Amino acid sequence: MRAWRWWVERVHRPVDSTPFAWVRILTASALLGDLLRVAQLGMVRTLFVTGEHGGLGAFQDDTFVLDRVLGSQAGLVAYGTTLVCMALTAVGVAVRPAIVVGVLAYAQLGHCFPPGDRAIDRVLRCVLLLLLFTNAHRRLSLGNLLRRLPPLRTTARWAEDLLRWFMVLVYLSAGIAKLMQQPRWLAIDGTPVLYRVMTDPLAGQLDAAFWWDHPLLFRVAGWGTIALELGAVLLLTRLAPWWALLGVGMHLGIFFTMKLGMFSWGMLAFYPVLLWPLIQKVIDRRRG
Amino acid sequence: MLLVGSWLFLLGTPGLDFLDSKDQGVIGRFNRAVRVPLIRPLEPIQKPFRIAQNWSLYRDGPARVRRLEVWVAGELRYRSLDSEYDWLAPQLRSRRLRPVVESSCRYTSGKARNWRGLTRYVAERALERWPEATQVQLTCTVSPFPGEDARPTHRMEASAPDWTPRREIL
Repeated sequence: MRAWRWWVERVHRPVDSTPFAWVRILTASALLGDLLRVAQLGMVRTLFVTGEHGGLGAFQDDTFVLDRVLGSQAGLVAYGTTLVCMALTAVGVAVRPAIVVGVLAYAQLGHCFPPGDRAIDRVLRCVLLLLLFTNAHRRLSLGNLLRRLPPLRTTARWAEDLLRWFMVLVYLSAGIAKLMQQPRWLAIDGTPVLYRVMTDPLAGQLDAAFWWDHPLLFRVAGWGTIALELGAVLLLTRLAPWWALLGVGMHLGIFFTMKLGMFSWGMLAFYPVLLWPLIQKVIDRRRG
Repeated sequence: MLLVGSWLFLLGTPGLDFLDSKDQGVIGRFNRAVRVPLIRPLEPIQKPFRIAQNWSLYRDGPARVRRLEVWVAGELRYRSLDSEYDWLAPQLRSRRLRPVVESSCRYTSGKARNWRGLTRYVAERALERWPEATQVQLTCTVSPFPGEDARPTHRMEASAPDWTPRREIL
């Protein structure tokens, strides 16, 4: 009974809602930037119009239901809707309806062109759905100013616990999957797996011939990646901010060595919650 | 919170999605007997939001170096990760189109489901840039690391007058 009371008190304890507001802003901005990049490359019709109407995709998920109502324009409507909803989410206007409609439209984009809907898209959708139940919509938001509402400075702690738990599952699964399917991540000889990942001409940025003579660098970085991913359980402890600093390093490394679009920015968008204790310390120190 | 946390854990139990479906170990049998039947009814909830995922982020690198080359009217215009031939590189290397390039170059079986769309897309862009062109070829090459002595594996092609995508195994 005492344990249950402790648990209930813990999950209801108010925590600062500012990091969640930053997660909201950064997550929506990462997605917004990604979708605008598609437009900048002139690929909206190519990707989000089905093959039978002149687009690239030969197949869609059976859960792509929008085309039954809107026909050939379905993908384009989903694209526009996601764009508007993410802009509203980022600036903080009508956040909750924008998240619900935006996530459903964003999912329809994925159903419309499945190869282009990657793991990061699913992570972003999960976290947007989580934000729906926090007070992130009423912190650092334009909606507060427009409607003259006071900001909600706290939110229940369960959201922080759940986000950390979710990230533990994501990183831990990634680490275990790597080892189960390719044990050579830990090998001390042969071509390092990370070298193959980063110099793959289809996805990497590094020149395979140039880096061929530096296997140790990739081997050590590969071990570090596995250690970091398996060490994600630290996110449930007070060491979380320090783990997060290493995570920031890993994602910046991925950004500079691979061509994965918004992957790194999308993942880093969740880090304000993890880094908040450190950020607060810095702010407090500056304030004296 | 407990319920949602447990649900998340059940859906995404690290490692279990990568077990052999006939694994006879304790974990494999537990997965088939307990976890899979429990998560099956939850699948309809995940579908509208498209959030089902096994989180196998970058588990492996390719065993060999594969590249895509685009030849327009017999001239090389694009080669993967080659700054000298980078026409259409931002598009072909963009995160949403890259998986199509990868599957089209890696497979010649049913897994490469969008190779016709890819060929059509590249041919249309090529004709915008070089309207006089009569043939566009997408050649996939493979070589051992670090990527020298590449040999072509298959070729996707569209040519005048009908510009219908065709594929040839080399």
